[in-house]
Amino acid sequence: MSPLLELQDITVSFDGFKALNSLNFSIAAGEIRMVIGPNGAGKSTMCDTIIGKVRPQHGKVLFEGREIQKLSEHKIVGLGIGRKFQAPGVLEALTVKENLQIAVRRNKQWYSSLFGRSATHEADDIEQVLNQVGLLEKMDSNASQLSHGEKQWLEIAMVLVQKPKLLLLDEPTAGMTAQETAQTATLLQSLAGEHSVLVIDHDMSFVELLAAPVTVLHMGTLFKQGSLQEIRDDSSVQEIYLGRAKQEGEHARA
Amino acid sequence: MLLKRILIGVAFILLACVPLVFSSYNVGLMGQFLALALVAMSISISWGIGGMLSLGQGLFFGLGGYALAMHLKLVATPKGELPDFMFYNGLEHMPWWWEPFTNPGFAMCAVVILPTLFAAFLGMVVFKRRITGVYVSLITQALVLAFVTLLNGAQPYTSGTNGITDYHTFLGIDLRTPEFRNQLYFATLVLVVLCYLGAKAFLTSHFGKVLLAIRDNENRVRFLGYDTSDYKIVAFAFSGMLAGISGALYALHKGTISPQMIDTSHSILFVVWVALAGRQSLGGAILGAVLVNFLQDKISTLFPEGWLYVMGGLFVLVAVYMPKGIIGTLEPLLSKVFKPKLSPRVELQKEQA
Repeated sequence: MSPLLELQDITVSFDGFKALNSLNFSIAAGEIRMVIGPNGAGKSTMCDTIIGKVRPQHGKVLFEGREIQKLSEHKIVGLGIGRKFQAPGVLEALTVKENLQIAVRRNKQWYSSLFGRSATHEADDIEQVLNQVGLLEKMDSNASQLSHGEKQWLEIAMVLVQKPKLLLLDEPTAGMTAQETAQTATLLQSLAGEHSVLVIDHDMSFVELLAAPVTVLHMGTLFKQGSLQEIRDDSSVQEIYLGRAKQEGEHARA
Repeated sequence: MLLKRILIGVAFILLACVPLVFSSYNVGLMGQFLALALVAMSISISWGIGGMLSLGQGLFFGLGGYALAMHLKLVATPKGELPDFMFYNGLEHMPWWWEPFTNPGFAMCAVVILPTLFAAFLGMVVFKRRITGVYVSLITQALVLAFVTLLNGAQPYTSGTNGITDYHTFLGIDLRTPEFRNQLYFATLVLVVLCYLGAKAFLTSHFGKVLLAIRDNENRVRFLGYDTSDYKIVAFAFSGMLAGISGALYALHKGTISPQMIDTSHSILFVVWVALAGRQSLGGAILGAVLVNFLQDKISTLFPEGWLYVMGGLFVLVAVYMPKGIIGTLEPLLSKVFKPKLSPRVELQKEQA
């Protein structure tokens, strides 16, 4: 079966620094994948490249077999890729419900927004997703009044409600309590099969809860790939994390 | 919300009563201020809601104003003759692009379409390139400067620094009679109310929510699948259209339009009115324009030198102590005062406690 998303030989450099260096990566339809790696490994840049925020100097991004690395961002999103950013990016001036109304809208052209009506299923979709993330009661609160964890969930809900084929979640559990993290893991697991989910996270307890195949990035390339157990037992993976830690330790002392 | 609607309704009714109370001179003045309220509203839309601060709104205001003034001037010119300033500047034939303005319908369409198209074009150049923030302000300011220079420089075609003056009839009605002043006042008020309702509908649509979201977090909206630059272009064009209508009404009230009325300092004044009253509220923009101009008229008759100091002082005070403007600061206070009385649930909770 051909993968849903495939990165072929992707290179992205910022002023000579190669954030991604001939990266090859693929994810199948319905799969959940964890991406980990030390700071600066290129995890977020990988998401940015997929969604069109960063353009690769070299290589191809294939989504359902179609090259998308030159499409504009909103078209890439329209193909069925949703992205949650690292810092919660909810729209604070609007209510929870309005945030989702903006996300759920099928036709996102300006004239449809100005003259068109919302589709009838949209309200149901919003209610369903609010139920999933447990924000149903806060539907009419202002997004700015939510706690940090709730904002994270709202943003996940905004991605979910678009029903993307592929979800890119950048540190979805940052700032969440242990209980919230566990709930998030359950939520993401329930998505498998229907959606593909690519999760970046540092929190090892979350990685364990999710129990998904793991890809390790290092220096902008694919370093290792395998089950959680394999990765955990791999001495070279420990080394890049520890080596990094050692270096940082020395740095701190200096 | 209900309270706000009532207040706005009362304000419009009060405005409608102006001709019953005020002298004909003051009615004329209020009409002018109402015309200017539209340009203030246009800034509230592009800046307050859309986050695009135009320091060159005078450009669109001027396009609308000149489009109508050209027609009025042609009407005031005897058949077969050239408008006086063309004659004085040695032109022998009417420029071809003046000809169609003989038709009032064409001129009125131009009032709406010219500024809209120009704003849309400018928006395309600026927003498709993802130029944002202070650069938008600088570009618009530079453009209004260029426009004023062009108007001044092309004297045979535009009457230069004098502007277009000396016109007295519109659609066959004499502009100088008191009855017409009242009629024009009401027509202006009706237009302002219509534009207000139109803008309100514009902003409460899904489009308006997206625009607000773009102001606060454009990236997030873009990655929700919206082509954000399209939204900004449309909002900017809508804002340009309102400014153009405002300019045309102003030219009609004032009896003249000249480069001084649209230059950079005036364009900034438009923004100051809006900042004073509260940039995020359409009603506030109307109030700001009418109130500041009213004060200006009264204060500068008493102390001719003093007005600029009063204005500057007011602006500093508001900028420091009320960053959201007068309305933007009062509104939450008002709703706090009135909410407990309007919401029985809160009362109930209080009783139980």
